[in-house]
Amino acid sequence: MPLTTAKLGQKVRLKSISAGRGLRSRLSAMGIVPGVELVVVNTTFAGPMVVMVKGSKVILGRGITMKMMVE
Amino acid sequence: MQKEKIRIALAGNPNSGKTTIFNNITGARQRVGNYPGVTVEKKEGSATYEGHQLSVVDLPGTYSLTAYSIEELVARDFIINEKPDVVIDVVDASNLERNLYLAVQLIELGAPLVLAFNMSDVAEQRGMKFELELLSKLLGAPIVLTIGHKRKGQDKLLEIAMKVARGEITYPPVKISYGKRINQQLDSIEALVEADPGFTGRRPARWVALKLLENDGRVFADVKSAALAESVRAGMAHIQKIAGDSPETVIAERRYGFISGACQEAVRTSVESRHDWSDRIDAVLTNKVLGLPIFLALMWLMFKFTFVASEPFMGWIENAFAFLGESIGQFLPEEGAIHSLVVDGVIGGVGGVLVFVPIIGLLFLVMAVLEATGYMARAAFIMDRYMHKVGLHGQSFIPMILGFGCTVPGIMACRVIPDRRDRLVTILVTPFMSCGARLPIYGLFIGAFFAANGGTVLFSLYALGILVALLSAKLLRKFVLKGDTSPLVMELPPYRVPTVRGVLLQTWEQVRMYLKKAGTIILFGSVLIWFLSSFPWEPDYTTDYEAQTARAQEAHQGDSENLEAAVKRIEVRMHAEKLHKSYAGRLGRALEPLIRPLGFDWKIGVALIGGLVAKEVVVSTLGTLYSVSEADEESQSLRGRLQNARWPDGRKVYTPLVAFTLMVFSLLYLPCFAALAVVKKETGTWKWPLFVLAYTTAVAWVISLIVYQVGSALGIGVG
Repeated sequence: MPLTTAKLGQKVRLKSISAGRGLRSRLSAMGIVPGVELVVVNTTFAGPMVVMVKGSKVILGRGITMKMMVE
Repeated sequence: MQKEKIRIALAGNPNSGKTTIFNNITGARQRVGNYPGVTVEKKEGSATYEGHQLSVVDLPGTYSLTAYSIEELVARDFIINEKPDVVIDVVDASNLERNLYLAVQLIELGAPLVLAFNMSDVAEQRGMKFELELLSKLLGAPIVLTIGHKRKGQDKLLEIAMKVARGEITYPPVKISYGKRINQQLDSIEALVEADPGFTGRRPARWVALKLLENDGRVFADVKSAALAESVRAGMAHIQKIAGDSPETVIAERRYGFISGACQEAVRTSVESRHDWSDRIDAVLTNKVLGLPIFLALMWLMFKFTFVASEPFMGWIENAFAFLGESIGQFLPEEGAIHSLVVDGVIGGVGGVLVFVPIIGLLFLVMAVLEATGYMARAAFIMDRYMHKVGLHGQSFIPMILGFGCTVPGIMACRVIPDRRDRLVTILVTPFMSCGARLPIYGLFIGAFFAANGGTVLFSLYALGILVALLSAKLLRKFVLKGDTSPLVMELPPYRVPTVRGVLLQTWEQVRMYLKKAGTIILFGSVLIWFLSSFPWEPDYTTDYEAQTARAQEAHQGDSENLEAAVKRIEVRMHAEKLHKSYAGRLGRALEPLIRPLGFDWKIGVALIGGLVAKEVVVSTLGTLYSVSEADEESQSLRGRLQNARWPDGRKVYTPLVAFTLMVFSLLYLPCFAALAVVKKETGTWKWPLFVLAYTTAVAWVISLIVYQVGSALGIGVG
């Protein structure tokens, strides 16, 4: 399922990201690589979310959360 | 004996406390510039340690060292080309694994490295215990625990850094394993790299091999031998096939694997829970419902505070300049051009601008505090959804807010936006945010014509600026810079109590830039406007004023009071004609047909041209023009003169509607030269500043026309 549908407080594992190389590289640098565990710590109505990854919080815009498949 | 100079580079993630450590080491001995050829800020500082001269470079804060962002490229090129004696990587120890990602890349780059485990107090509170010796061995670099804001561990850090710089501490090099298959690829590529004439040994061969497999275009461009190029392509295809993912993703995963392996061995974590005060604040400030109203309230408070708190300071500066003008004026020959140049041109022009230093300084101060606490990142989060609707970016919001202070730092702040087109759109619309330099214009006209509902008028102007900025973004996205906005990816740092020193240093840096602008561009503009409105010094007058004066002297012999008034009337008529015939007057009259539909006369035209230098100059130009032209002795203030200014047919020039239209035009038409210069610098071509020039002027003209014509037709504010 896409990360967008994850609920507040839910812990998910990242399966894949379909994005361009530049964006993937930025995500990698922030610890967001396939296999990593994400916890949804904040959501908005149809806007960005905040996930906890490797001990830090990262804001992810809706444009990318729709392209991140998690389980 | 002269001891050798040690060159230190500071690397680290954004929000790792790198700047605090830099400030601690160098104090106020800092210089800020740009890296050659790119618009990335370069901070350098100096210090002494045990008789050694230290030169410290604060590399841009990055999470990684890829070729995808200018900052990362700059940091990496600096280490490769400048070969600093030691690189200190400032690591947020409370957030170790993510921060070590950069450290691992520095290790692979072969930099002489020291790891500063900063915020070690926070890490301790979180129950993290480091086995430093073991971890140093695993990472191949010495580690020093530091607490930046308490200056703890700083001496030790410098001591170890000096030892590393002199080669007194060395660790066996660490080779990160990327798994059997990738390692094999790396080995064979490494051998080919060593034989390739494109790589002369500045960069470690292993690192080059890794970057090639990571599909790094910058490094690949140096490949000379066909065998190497072929081997890289085959290697990438192979990894893609067996791992089912792109080589760079696989390599990133393995790096994190190495890091978490090292941390499992050498870091003990006893407390699992991370629900700290930062989370509790966020529960309120970034709340779905409360977030936006709190944000708007904070912005309102910020403006309220800066306006109220700066008022007394502005009065003092105003008086000081008036005093300065009078005192210096006494020493200069009264009627000459020099007197006029110094008093009206230089002191009047630059002084009129420096009056706004307190308001701009306080605005920068509040913004520095908001930034240092971490709130700005929350603002980006809250606003992202709305900004996306017009094709902007959550991160576009910070530059636009800064634009309320001054467009120049606002445009420079656009550097944080990673995507080029997103950045460009933000740069192009930031000038519509009503900057501090427009305030004197509003102050003058609201004071003169809207005394009863000044607050509403002021608010409507700010709102109009924001509205035009947002609509312009939408239009630019639709027609000029087409394409989707790149999604927001940004760290949400924990809240921190800002250090007084850090906030003051940042504010001072920005105020210093503003002062520099006043001392250069605005000085030049003031002198130019003075020249245009004062020359030709002796035009061909239609009337012989001297003869008139002589006649008046005869007529009023013995009646000094009437004589003075009569002479004054003649002088005023003479000045009016002189101004009319000056270069500025000719320019203004040439422009009049263009601005007549907006209700403006030629004097307003001249003032608006003056405003190209800096918006404040609109006010000082009007001051100059009316001080010499109105035969009105009762009202000495500019306000009064504007209220009584008349067209040749006797109608008033300034109705409230004209005043409002003029404020609208001043808000929207092209930003000052300084802003255009910064647009050129940040975009790299003259194309965009010229676009801004044409676009903003067109927008200002059209909207002002609508305001004036609709207002006239409906009879609003014409009386």
